[in-house]
Amino acid sequence: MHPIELVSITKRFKAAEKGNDEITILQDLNLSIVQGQSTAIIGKSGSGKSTLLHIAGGLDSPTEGKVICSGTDFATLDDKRRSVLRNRHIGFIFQANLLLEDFSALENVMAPALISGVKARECKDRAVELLERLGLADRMDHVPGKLSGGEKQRVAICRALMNRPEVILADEPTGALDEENASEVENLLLDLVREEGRSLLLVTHNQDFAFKCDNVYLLKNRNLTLEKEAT
Amino acid sequence: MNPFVLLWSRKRVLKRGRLTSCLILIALVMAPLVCALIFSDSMMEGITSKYIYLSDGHLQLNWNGEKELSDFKADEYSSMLYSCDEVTSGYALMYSATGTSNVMVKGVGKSYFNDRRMDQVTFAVSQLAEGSTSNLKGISISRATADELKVSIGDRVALMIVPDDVDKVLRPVLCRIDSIFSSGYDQLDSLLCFVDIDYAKTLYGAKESTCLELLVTSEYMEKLDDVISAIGGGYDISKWNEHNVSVYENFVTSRQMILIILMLVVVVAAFYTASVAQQMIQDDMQEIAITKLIGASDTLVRRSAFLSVYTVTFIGMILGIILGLLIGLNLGPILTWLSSMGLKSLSFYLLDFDITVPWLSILLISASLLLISYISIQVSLGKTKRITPIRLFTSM
Repeated sequence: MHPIELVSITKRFKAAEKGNDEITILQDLNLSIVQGQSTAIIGKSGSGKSTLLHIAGGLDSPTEGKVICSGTDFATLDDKRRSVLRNRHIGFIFQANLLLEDFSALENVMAPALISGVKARECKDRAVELLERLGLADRMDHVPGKLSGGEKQRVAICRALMNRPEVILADEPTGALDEENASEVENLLLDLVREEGRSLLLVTHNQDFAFKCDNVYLLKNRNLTLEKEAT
Repeated sequence: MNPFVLLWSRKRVLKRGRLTSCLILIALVMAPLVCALIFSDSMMEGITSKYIYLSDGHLQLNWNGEKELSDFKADEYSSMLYSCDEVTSGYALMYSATGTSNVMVKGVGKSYFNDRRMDQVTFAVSQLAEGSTSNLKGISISRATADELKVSIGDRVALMIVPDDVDKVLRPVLCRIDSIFSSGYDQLDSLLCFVDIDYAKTLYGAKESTCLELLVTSEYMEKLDDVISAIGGGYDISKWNEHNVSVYENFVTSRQMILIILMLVVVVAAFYTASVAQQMIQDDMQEIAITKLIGASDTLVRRSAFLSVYTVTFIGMILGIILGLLIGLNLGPILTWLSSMGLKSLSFYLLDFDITVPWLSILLISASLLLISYISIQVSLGKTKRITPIRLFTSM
């Protein structure tokens, strides 16, 4: 079973200025994320990479087609069950790290587990272990406002992995970092995903980062073209 | 309770200034409400006690043509009755060189001012007056009347007796002020004037002018009908609240009005909590979207936000009650101090009263606050449904 499978996805948006005209972003697109492999999607700005990732994560709905996550069609789920699926099976990392500002680094990492009902003392060890692996042992009690960009992104990676999800969805995770930090975070993310045996769906315009992944697709003319395939 | 709900709420309560101001507002609303309830209830009970012990007794036995009052054997009801005193009363105009005052002259025996009555009143007695050999009859007037007539102990006043029989004529008698009393409630004090019962009988000879004033034991204070049944027929028996009916009805109405007004204040405060909840959602829109992104359902988000505001409301309410109780339990000294600082209008009220805490009313108001807050916060939290992670991404 694929952690995420996109079947005949079409996404249209209403054009903002042209009355009822619609713009098609994705057209009859198919994609299967393979268990334990990393997949990158590259493409120009505005090509629909982020839209594709939002649809894959159940954050947005396709106009046509279906998204199957761990064997369940997102469209058939109500808010509560969709939230549970997102909480248990998907980890998100975005360019803007989207951490909870009032929570410490440790609490941010623990948050997905706490939401799923695990008590703090039971999930603390796992959160500490992740933060230590990413070199944040002395930053655990700091709130995001006191962390550097690279540190925040590393906290976001830990949070994404906290519930041991089947798949990590990452949208330009190093886009806001300087070259040195970006390279470090790229390697940490890929290593951690491999060590934990998770799947990764990465959306980036950074070709170097993308080609470190097992599979690479180019999103062009509303559809995907395979650029690199895992051997 | 979901651990994330607890953590999220704790963060909000500790870190959001708006919630702190909500807490302070609720506390500042509840404190005066509790204080006002204590003040009104205690004062009304205090005034009622003054009327009972100094004016009417718990029960009054009047002659109705069947049995003589002297036939009543109080000893037979010793478990029910604390005291039984013969009282002769009538009305008079009191004159001094500088003023006049309407008074009710109460003729009482020496046993009348027992411990319970002495708890309600203080007397200033002149040594000179006690040892006086003057032929003038001694009377005891209130501090309020003494101030009005500008007289003091040892001075003489004239009583113009209003006759109890239409055939009799108005007649003045001269008396000497032997003592001045004060119960702390000037409005009642200014109506009363105590004389010896034998002398009162010479002024008001009619049988109807004399009655027996009964005070019941603590056990029977709420069971006056049982006492009336036990005494049976042969007399006209009236309860304390049947005298000065308008005074007591005013108390009941005032109490109800105060409670209604306080409830309205509580309703406003409760709706304020809803606006705090709404504002909190507005402020935390991004954080709510992030929590939903990492898997929190809308129910979980609402529960977290609700717990934050409700906890603050609850803590504010408890603090307000404690503050109100602290002020309320020290109302006596505070009012006396305010009165001594020149707030003359306070002298119309009873300043010296036992504090009673109206727990039931406080409970009612607290329950209303919690209930209305619960409903209004829940309604205002409906907006969280519209906050989705994707909407936040598109606006970022």
